[in-house]
Amino acid sequence: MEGGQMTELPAQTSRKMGLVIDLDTCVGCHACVISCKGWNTENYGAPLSDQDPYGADPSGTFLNRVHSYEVQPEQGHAQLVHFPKSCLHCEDAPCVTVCPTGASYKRVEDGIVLVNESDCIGCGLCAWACPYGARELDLAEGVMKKCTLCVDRIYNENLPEEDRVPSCVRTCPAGARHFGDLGDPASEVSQLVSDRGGMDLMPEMATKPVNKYLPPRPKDRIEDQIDILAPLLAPVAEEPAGFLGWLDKALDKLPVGNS
Amino acid sequence: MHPAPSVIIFTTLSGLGFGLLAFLGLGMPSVTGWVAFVFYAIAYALAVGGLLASTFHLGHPERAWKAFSQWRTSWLSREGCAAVSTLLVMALYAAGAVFLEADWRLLGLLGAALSIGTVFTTAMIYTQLKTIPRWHSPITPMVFLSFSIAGGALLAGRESLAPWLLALAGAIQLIYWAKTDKALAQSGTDIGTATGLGDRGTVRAFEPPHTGSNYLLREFVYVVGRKHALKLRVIGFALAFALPIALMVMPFSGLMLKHLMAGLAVLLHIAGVACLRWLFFAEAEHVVGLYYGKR
Amino acid sequence: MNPEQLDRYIENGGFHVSHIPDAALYYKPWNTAYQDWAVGMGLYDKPEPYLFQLYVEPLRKFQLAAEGYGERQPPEHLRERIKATMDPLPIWYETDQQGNAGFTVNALTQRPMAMYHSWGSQNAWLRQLHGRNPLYVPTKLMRENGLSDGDWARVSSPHGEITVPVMEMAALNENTVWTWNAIGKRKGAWALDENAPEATKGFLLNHLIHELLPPKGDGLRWANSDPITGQAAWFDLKVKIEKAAPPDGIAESQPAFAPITSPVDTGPKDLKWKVGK
Repeated sequence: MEGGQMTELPAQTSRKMGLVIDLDTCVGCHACVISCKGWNTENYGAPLSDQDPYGADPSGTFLNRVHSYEVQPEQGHAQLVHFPKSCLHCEDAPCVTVCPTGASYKRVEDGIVLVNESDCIGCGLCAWACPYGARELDLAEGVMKKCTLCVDRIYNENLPEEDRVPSCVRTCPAGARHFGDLGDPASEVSQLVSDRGGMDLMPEMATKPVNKYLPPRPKDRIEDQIDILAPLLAPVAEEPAGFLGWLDKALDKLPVGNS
Repeated sequence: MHPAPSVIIFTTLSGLGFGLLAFLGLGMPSVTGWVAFVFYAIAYALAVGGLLASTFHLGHPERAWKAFSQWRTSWLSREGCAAVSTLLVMALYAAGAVFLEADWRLLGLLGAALSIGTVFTTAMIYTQLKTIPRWHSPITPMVFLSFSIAGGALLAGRESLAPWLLALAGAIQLIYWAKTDKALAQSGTDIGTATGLGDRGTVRAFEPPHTGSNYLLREFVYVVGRKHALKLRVIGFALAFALPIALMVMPFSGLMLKHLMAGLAVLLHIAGVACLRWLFFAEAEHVVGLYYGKR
Repeated sequence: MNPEQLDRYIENGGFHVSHIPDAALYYKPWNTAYQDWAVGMGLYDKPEPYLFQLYVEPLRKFQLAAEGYGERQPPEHLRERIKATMDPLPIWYETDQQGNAGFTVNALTQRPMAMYHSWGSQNAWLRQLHGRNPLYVPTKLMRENGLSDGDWARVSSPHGEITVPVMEMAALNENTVWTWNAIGKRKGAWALDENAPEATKGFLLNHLIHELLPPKGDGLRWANSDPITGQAAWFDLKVKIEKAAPPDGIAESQPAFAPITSPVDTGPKDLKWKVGK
């Protein structure tokens, strides 16, 4: 992690590591939020602090937060979509070029955007430049904090292999978060993006975000009235034969507790 | 944007200070000895005072010296370098004027150019940000430069020039408001593009990600009531331009009264610029507010 | 059986790890490997796989008794209820609406998922996610009552009344309101500041729900619970909603009770945990 000319964006990075967030599967449980907060209270850099944590106006530094939106189509029901948001590790990251000290930088080897906490003067300009709200000033430490893509997990040989992914990805109970190289078209995350039409946030800002969002899948699309259950609800014969006959006999054999 | 007092003080005072330095560098007025000393003292007090004030909003002001290193990419770094260069060059020029009754013309011109350059780099810090559509316009640097030059003329005692420059700055301020009031709406950025869900229907922010406040809400989602903002625009405009122009052009009898009115004009102008700078920040809409449904 | 049990605990620092074998990790209710391992650990006395019966024979036995069959007969005042509710197949029926005239809106609660990500013993982080809970009201009811986001509403049931903040939710059944459980807290509870949002804006639906159903006029009141399981019938709650002014100009959820004194101090004003290193 050199200082000096690091706030020039690398012309190219060897890999484009990032996250794919599935808006169809996310249930809005905030496990990723807390997992991230916990991991980053212990490891990379200064701990994420809280102010007035037990008081009337608690607030604190979080790197990943989950919003909820309602989408009302022209026809049909409104849909609730849960929306996790953290640093998108943009290819053309405006937060890197505005930094006056070189504390904000993008790594050449994997494209991860990080803050060098000993160089950061806490001016906040990177947060002004970020359209996505990925950076927060930690009030206790006076430096800017952001998602590190768990750079201290993904290469950490002291962790079992299945844990060498970002903490939020590891913990998501719905399997809505995926991690990998978005620069490799054959990677699992790239396949997801092409299969599901993964999208950029605020593409008009020209940040070229690496993280992609998978839109909710279409729902409630049965055009004709298909009564799936109708054949099964037809009256059964008096003496059931075949499969039903077998089922009838098998049910009789089940124990029914203290009868 | 949260109008941080330190940033408002910084841009107001240093804009004036560098404006005055520009006029001094141009030899307008061409002063020497004690008179020069007073002029330069005022200019440096404003410029350096402003710069010092800006360090108060840093998380680590003791590391501020590191901010000179990224001038290749960062406007904030360029501003630091330009400011220090200006102050050094003009210190030499000032020394010549105060102690040696000298007027090293080329040095003065260089200093004046650097002064204007410093104000320009300051403006570019805000102009470069696509995230604040209102600021992302060529008019923004014109606002900063015209304010600085007009204020500098006022402080430098340019009686005939100052009213015109104030009028110009006032006109640019009005154009800025007219043009940038629609900036967010015309930017093509809305909650639909922010979430990527815009093509599925009308998007509405439902539950926020946290029920309390956080850095993003405090810094970037500052809301000024429209009526309140309008009142402040009128007051700011009057203090910064209308009243100073009036005081400068009205014929007063007696040199003492004239000087007093000119002094008053300066004070009113400073108050007005501070008010307008407050509005510059308070009315700036950052697109991150879209995620919170606050636009 | 284990004479040195306590000594063993002390010897091991009160700590023991036993990993569930790989084959026993999934489908535990029906996984022989798990069941055997659990018996070995003393979690069960014998293997106890779950059996789901769609047709529940024991219920049918109760229903038959209520229909008059068999020697064991139910008390007369319960006969009809048993006949109606102890159906061996899954059924749905509208609950007894006696006393619910005018209360036509369903009111539900949901456990907040985010509050389960607990670590350590306090929830300093979680209360930033859910520090207060509005009543979520569908669009139709918001419009009918002239409500918009941030307004207050009086919600009443046959049993009680609360005054709470509302928030519009379009993706919601048009005749149902709901809120999160367990966010609202009494002032001073949990060693939190008395002005914590949990106490001033948070609220519970508890005040609207009684343990007993309304009097039946025969001196009896049945439990407000499911007749089979005894589960408290919270989801049968029916309410009425109308717009209200912010209570007493103080804008705190009602009912509000006097603060309780905490046996412990409130927590620190700043948290900067560096666990581990």
